[in-house]
Amino acid sequence: MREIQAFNRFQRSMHLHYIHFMVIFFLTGLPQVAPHHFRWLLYFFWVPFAWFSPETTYLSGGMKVAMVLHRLAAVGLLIYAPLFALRELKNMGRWQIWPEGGPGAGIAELIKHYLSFQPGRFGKYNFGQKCLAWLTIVATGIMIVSGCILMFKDAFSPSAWRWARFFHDVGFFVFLVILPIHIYMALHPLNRKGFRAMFETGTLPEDYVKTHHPLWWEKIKSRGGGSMS
Amino acid sequence: MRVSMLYDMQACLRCYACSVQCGIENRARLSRDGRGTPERVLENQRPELRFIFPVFHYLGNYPGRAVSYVHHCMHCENAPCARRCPAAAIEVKPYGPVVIHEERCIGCRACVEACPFNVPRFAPRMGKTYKCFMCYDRLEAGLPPACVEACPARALYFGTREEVLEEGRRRVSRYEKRLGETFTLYGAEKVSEATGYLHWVTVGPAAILEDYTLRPDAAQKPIEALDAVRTIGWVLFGASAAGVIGHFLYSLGKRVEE
Ligand code: SF4
Ligand code: SF4
Repeated sequence: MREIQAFNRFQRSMHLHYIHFMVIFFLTGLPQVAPHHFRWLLYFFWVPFAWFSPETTYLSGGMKVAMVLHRLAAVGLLIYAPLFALRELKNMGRWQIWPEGGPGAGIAELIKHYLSFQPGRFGKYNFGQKCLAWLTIVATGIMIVSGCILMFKDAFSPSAWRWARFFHDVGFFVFLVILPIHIYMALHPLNRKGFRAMFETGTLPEDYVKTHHPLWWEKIKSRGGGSMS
Repeated sequence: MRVSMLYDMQACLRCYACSVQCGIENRARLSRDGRGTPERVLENQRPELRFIFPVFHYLGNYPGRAVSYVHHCMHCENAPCARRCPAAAIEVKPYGPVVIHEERCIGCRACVEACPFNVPRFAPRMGKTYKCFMCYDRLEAGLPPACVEACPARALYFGTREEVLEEGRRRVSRYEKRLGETFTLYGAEKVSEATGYLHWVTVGPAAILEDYTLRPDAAQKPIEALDAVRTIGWVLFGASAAGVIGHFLYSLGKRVEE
């Protein structure tokens, strides 16, 4: 059966590394945003560090290590994100996350897919995925800008730090709310083919695209190609 | 029993003996704590260890009116700095003083962001942040804070909270009677939700208190808003997690149409 390319290697590698960065950001950021509930995480950062610096406590040493790791992950993201953004901006016109029909129709199709378990009339992405994609883009932008201000504090005024701290928190909670949904949907048997495309092959079977992503299939046919970003 | 400090703007001679004494005391403290000989610690300037000092600023259009105020920690009841310190390096003593423990500080400057009075000072050379801790070690040894001992005009006054408030109110009413102006005891009552009342109260003419950075409702709004952001965030996270669990249960035993 013919396979349609859904994600190229670069997109898949960006997605995979974004997961790695997110894991580090969450593990090292949670003790900062909710210290009373997540301070225990600092023990894990502190134990190896205490070997070098025994005078520290799990709070001071662990938090310091957590902050350094947070920043290292941020540097990784700062290298990756602009490369990804530059490459994707070039193809902006072909993005599949632009609206196709109104939100009412989008939600109706989502209900059909997720509650009736029947194929919805989706584009490459359904309404929920598009909302998630835009929230991720906006929240990533917020996190990068506010994170840079917090990382290079000396270049900014304390009032800029305060707003950066505020928006860094807002961005964090956007991710905290959307990620469980995203991860769950990705792992759900309904979306097994999409999961395979993202983590294994990069492609979807043509029949699956015809039935589950008819709006996208129409575009592919009209362009006469087998790959769209 | 809570303790408090009082600063009387009207009685202050602007001699800044308090500031000089603070700088000496904090460096001498290093020697006492075994961190160098007296000569060594006093030779070292360590400006960040002067916790009370004058600040000049100009009000109005150029050239403006020069105002100098005495900058120091207010030892807020709700200590926004302590609430935001991720390393729990700032302790609010049960009897009032708000203390940074230097050895626990990681220099993240979250306290600088949170303080409504711009008090904590970050020392890049040490990688740590410093502020007044009301000589809590002296207090625990039965001595008054060093700055209070240095003040020749009794413009700085230390005692239990009740004594300090009583002294403050006495001075306010005396000044009002003699000068015919309204005076305030700033910090005796709650200043803002963020700070609560202050363990360092100030007696001064009501009309000019704000020129001396003693503003009503002192708070760093974006930082105080974090609590609301976090509450809303966790509620939405709960809703999102509940949705996921609900859909999982709903999905059990359902057949997926391929
Ligand atoms: S004045 Fe600033 S540093 Fe002092 S206790 Fe209040 S918030 Fe903390
Ligand atoms: S700079 Fe030090 S005292 Fe201030 S918030 Fe950070 S760790 Fe706490």
